[in-house]
This record gives sequence, C-alpha cells and structure tokens, in this order.
Amino acid sequence: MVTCIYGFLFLPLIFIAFISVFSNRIISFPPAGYTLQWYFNILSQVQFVTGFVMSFQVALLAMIFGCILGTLAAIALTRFSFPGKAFLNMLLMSPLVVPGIVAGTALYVFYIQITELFGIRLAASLPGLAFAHITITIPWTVRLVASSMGGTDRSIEEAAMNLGANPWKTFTKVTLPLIRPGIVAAALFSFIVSFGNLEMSLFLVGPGKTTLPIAILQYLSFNLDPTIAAVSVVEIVIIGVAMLVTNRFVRISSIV
Amino acid sequence: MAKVQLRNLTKRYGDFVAVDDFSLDVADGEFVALLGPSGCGKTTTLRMIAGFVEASTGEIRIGERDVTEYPPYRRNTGMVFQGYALFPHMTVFENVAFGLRMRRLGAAETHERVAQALKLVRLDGHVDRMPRQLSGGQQQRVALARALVVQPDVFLLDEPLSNLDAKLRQEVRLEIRQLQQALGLTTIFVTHDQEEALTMADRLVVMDRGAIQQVGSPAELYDRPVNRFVADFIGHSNFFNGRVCGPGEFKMDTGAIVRFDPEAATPQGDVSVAVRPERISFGHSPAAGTINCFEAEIEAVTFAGPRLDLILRCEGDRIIAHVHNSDGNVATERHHVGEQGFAMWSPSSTRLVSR
Ligand SMILES: Nc1ncnc2c1ncn2[C@@H]1O[C@H](COP(=O)(O)OP(=O)(O)OP(=O)(O)O)[C@@H](O)[C@H]1O
Ligand SMILES: [Mg+2]
Repeated sequence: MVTCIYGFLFLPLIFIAFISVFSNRIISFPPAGYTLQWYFNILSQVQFVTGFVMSFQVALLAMIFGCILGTLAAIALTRFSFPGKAFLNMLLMSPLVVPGIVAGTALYVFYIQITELFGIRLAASLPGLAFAHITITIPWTVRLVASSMGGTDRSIEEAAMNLGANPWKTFTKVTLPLIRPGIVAAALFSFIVSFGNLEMSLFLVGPGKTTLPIAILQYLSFNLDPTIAAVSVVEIVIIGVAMLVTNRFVRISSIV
Repeated sequence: MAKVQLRNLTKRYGDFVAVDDFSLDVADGEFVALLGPSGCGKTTTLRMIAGFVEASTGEIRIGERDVTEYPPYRRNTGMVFQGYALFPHMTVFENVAFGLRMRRLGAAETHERVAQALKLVRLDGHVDRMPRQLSGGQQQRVALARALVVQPDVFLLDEPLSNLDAKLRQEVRLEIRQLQQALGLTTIFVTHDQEEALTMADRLVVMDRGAIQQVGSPAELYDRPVNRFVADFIGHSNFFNGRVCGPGEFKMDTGAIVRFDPEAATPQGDVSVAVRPERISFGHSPAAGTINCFEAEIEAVTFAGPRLDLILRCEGDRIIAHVHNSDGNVATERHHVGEQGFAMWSPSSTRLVSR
C-alpha cells in the first residue's frame, strides 16, 4: 500500500527524468535512443539561463525580506498584546488563502497605478516580483517562527532577565538562538516557495524579465522536446536539495 | 544579602484580585516560605518581587532600594524556576557564567566564581555538559548555582523541588537549607507542600485566596493557628462549632461543654474549637482527671505505618484520632469498627480559631 502511494508520487518524477534523456526531437515512446544533449540545450536557450538567474534573485530577496519582516511580526504576535492583533494575524496569513493568480492580477493592477502616479515601473521588474513573493514568504515565516516561539519556555527568557540581561541582550543571547532553527527553516522554505512560484508571477513578468517556471511554460507553448524534462529535472533537484536541508532544521511534515 | 520589605502589595487582573494587600518583612538571612493551596497567589507574589509581574499597588524594597518600578534585570534577585529554565543552548559552565557576563566580569574571575558555585552544589566535573545531558536533580543544582553565583540580594525559589522524586526531594531540601544557612541567604521560598515549608523555613506565611492568613514560626503556626483555614492547612484538625459560654468554656452545637485554656488568646467573632488528631486519645473508660471526655464510636480504622488513624463518631461529628503504633504488630487488632468508648483531650490541646 505504502509502496503504491510512493510509486504514485514518484513515478511522474522518474518518468520526467527518463524522458529527459530520450534522443527523439518530439517526445514519443519508445525512445529512439538516449542522449544528454537536452541538458546542454538548456544552456543554449537564453530564456532558461536568464529565467534561472531571475528566479534566484527574486527568491533570495523574497527570502531575506520575508524572514526579517516575518520574524519581527511573529515576535510581536507571540510576545505582545495590542489592539488589532487578531486582525494583523489574519492580514499576514491572507496571501496563503487567496489564489496566487488572483493576488498576482491584483498586484499587477496596483503596479500599473503606481507607475501612472509616480512613474515608477514595478511590473516586469525585479523589485516588483520580489515584492509579490514577499507577500507569500511572510506568512510562511510568521507561521514557522511563531510556532518555534510558542515552543520555547517563557521562563527561560525570564531567567536571562533575572540574571541581569536587558531586553536586547535577552533577545540576542537567548531568544534568537532558541528560535534559530525556526528562522533557518523559514528562510529555506521561503526560498523554495518563491523559486517554484508560477501563478503569482504570471502577470508580473515581461520580456527579458521572466522567472524560470514561466520560461518553462512559455517554451512549452512552442516546443515539445525533452529540454522541458531536463529543465524540470534541474529544478526538482534544486528544490529537493533545499527541502532536505530544511528538513534538518524542522520536520517539514509538522508545518505544512 | 539584604532584607526585603513588602508593603501592601496587591495584584489585580481585571476584577480578580490575585494578591490582596500583602505586607511582609523578611530579615537579612531569613528563610521565609510562602505556603498555600493552588491558585492562592504565591507565584504571583514571588514574580512581583522578581519584577516579572507589575504590582497594581504597593511597594517593594530590597535592602535600602525601592525597586517597585525597577525592571527585573536591575533588581539583583536570584530566582530558581519550577522547571529550572536552564538555557538549553549553553553548557553548564555558560549557564552559570551568564549572570557574571551580564555584569561584565573579567574572564579569570568568571571562571573562578563559576567553579566555586558549581563546587558548592557538587557539580564540578560537569561543566561542559549540555543541560539535556543532565538528570533532573543535576539540572536543579545548575539552576541553584546559576542564581547564587551572582550574589543576589534575595534568593527566590518557586516550587523548586516539585519535579524531583520523593527521595531526591528530601535530599535537595536539606541541601538548600544548609546552603542558605552557610551563605546567610535571604530566601523566599514558594511551596504548596506543608511538610517542605515546616522543615525548611524559619518563618511561614500561610496564604489563601490572595491574602495572608497567618505569619509565624512553624511551631507557632502548628500550635497556635489563628483561624480554621490555618488549623486545617498546617497539619490536620478536628473542628467543633459552637460558641464561648464562659471563661475557658465552649458550648458545642450539640450542647456539650468543651473546656479550653482560658489564658490562651481568644479570637473575635465566630469561633470554632480545633483539636489535633494526635492530641485525642481513645479509651473504654474516662481516664482519671481528663476534663474533655465524650462518648465515641469507631467508624473506621486505617493503618498508617507509625500510627493508626481512628475515624470516630463523636458529638454528631466525624473526627480523626491518631494512635501511636508503639507496640508494633498488635496495634491493628486492638481496635475494631463499632467499638464504643470515649474520645479524650486536655484543655491545653483545645484551640479556639476564628471560622
Ligand atoms: N496573567 C494572569 N491573568 C489572569 N489571572 C491570573 C494571571 N496570572 C495568575 N492569575 C490568577 O491568579 C491566581 C494566583 O495565581 P498564582 O500563579 O500566583 O497561584 P499559586 O499560588 O502560585 O498557585 P500554584 O500552587 O498552583 O502554583 C490564580 O487564580 C490565577 O488564575
Ligand atoms: Mg505557583
């Protein structure tokens, strides 16, 4: 039974890897032969290379800003009580429940308005994409960091203060080390979520400013050669490695 | 070390009064135990002294300083938490050194004082372990060393023994007391275990529903409880309701007269008579010269090791008498359910307490 489920989950992945080494120009079965040329073809397709670079930059920015803002928000939400706390919590979480394509469209309209008002171009730009992705990396960070704040014993921080540590020292010497696994996990998870995001970015990309998942989608509209499979394998490997690293800090199964 | 003065401390949570007008002076080097049932405000009081809970009204003085408005990190108290609250990411050494580092002591002196503190709690040799690699008792010692190494003005302990097993608890209890006396530590100790409080403290503060019921030495509280709550909370007491009807005379609701020591202090208002179970004897005929002597019947007999507990029906009430098991194996056979006899006690064992 378990084997069946795993087989069901992994079979497509294995199949993609298998296809990526077919030598047929158009994907068909059975393969005429085997080759690694599609992997080299990735590098000769400029949109994949720029897409990869773009995705990487966006994911990095979304991760850094999402983690900083998300961690601060998580601390505020778990340690202090203030009016509108429940509302803030809901607001921060909402990007997870709004379909990505809806949020992406809304942001696109918003960017256009900004461009009209201030002349700043955000659509089809790195900052625009990064900002969009931050709205999804924040809720993940808040969730992860808040749950690790919740898991730490408040009296440990009190002990630090009792021993003469002021609030800043208490935070840097005790709180931060205690929640670090949560923050690291949030960082890696944010990167993964951003790197693989397709729906939200759809309307926010432009010529030469495309993320990898969208580059793949566009290539797929005109070609059906195993390059797509090769790119997918590369992306799966990157995300898979990130997942494995994340899993060393928190069990992914406990957060999703 | 320093004395501690608490003046009219009150803590309100909305309409709920967790600590009610609490005033207490703790002398330099004194060991005071706060004792009371769960939820009576012991922890809240201790946390107000440490600065983790802001007092609604009242004043806290440690030594000559009024610390009421001070944040916790400027109060110089040494607190031991119920769950120890060790820093899980630091070694034993780093845990104990933390307070000294916050005080910016030099490396050499830090090392020396940490070593000294760990030696005091017999933990030298474990300096490089992480807290999770220590047993509960050892973690407890690290927590003690960590609090003591900074030479606090007052040592605060919140049920520090409740996570230890019974045998270890006895041991650590003695150790804390010895440490406290050797170093002359001003100590405030919170517990709901009366035996712990009676055996360790110089003075006890019995609390109920946020308010102090009585303050005194263990013997004072045991022998001269002022009210029914204290008489029942410290040890066990049998109570009879009624009223004072003359000097040294108390008329029970059943009409029978109990005599008490007319010299003893008599509380105002509604009173009850309290008699300790070990002061009541049971016999088949009134012993010569016994003044308080009432017919009684045994309803149950319980064997309790060094003594026998007799549940008696006496003057319409159910009371308990303790009989010493001094002559060994025959004790249980000496008394049986349904046995008729007399419950007897002396006037000096009869205490008047307010209801
Ligand atoms: N933050 C709070 N908000 C509201 N009520 C509180 C708060 N903290 C404590 N209380 C209430 O104050 C009362 C006293 O609590 P406290 O923790 O001091 O009791 P305690 O004597 O230490 O009891 P225990 O022996 O169970 O530890 C309790 O009824 C508790 O519910
Ligand atoms: Mg408590």
